[in-house]
Amino acid sequence: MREDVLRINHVTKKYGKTVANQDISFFVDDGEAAVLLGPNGAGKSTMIKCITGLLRFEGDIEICGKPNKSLEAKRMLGYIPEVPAVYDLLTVEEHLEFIRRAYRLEDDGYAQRLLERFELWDKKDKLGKELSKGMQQKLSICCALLPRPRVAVFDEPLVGLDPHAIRELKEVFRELKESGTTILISTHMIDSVEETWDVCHIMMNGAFAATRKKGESAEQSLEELFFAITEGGEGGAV
Amino acid sequence: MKPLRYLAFTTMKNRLREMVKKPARLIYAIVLLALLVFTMIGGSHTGGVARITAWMS
Repeated sequence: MREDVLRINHVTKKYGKTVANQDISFFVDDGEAAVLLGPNGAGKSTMIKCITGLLRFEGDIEICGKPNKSLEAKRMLGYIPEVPAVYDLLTVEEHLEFIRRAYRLEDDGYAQRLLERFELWDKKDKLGKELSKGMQQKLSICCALLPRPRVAVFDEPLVGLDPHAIRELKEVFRELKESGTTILISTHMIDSVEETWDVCHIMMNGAFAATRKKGESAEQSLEELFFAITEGGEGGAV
Repeated sequence: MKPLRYLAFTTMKNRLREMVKKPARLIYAIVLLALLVFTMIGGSHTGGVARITAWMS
């Protein structure tokens, strides 16, 4: 029997009087890939930031049964932010060394394999501030994947990446799924997650407008449902 | 604490390397350091004179 690795219970997040997330509840099974799909301003990134513990919120979030702000939960979580946050004065290699030390990992060559895979090995001596945005994003992905997290959370991961990196990242999604890692991806690009998703939550105005599971027989495709909700203003079948 | 020490040490090391690569920054840092040193020396001298004047009176 599969267990819920990620459990979100009645989460509400308000910025002053603006409600960014309204009473959202969902869970992601072990090894499942869930997608938060929605237009800009739907509340996807806010949800992701609540899960990663970067924002205060009302409600409960559990990662493998532990509160999301506990150290045990953070150990099991890998987060790739929308805007890459790298240290200006650390080289590419030093970033991974820092993560390795922070997570007390053995040096098994995985860091080098990740850098080679994302074509960063030849830039290992470059400082963070000398990298382009796409390279910073790739470095951010390598740092998040190095501890082999049980749950990987990607916030708009494909923005700013070149075609090679996009292909590699899609391959990484597939491999993570195969290895049993639970994935949560927030995106507004439907085609970027077409091969990956198991369950898709379409968000609109801070709430879930529809939920679709892969393999579910439906009259509308995911894309049609998305546009029906976001452009037509009608609620989809939940 | 070890990772944070590594972060601080490596950042400092790379900052120094940057300064060597870009002499303008190095000159700026030296000038700042010199100003700081002069201020400290000057400040302590003034204090000394003040103490002597107070003792004499």
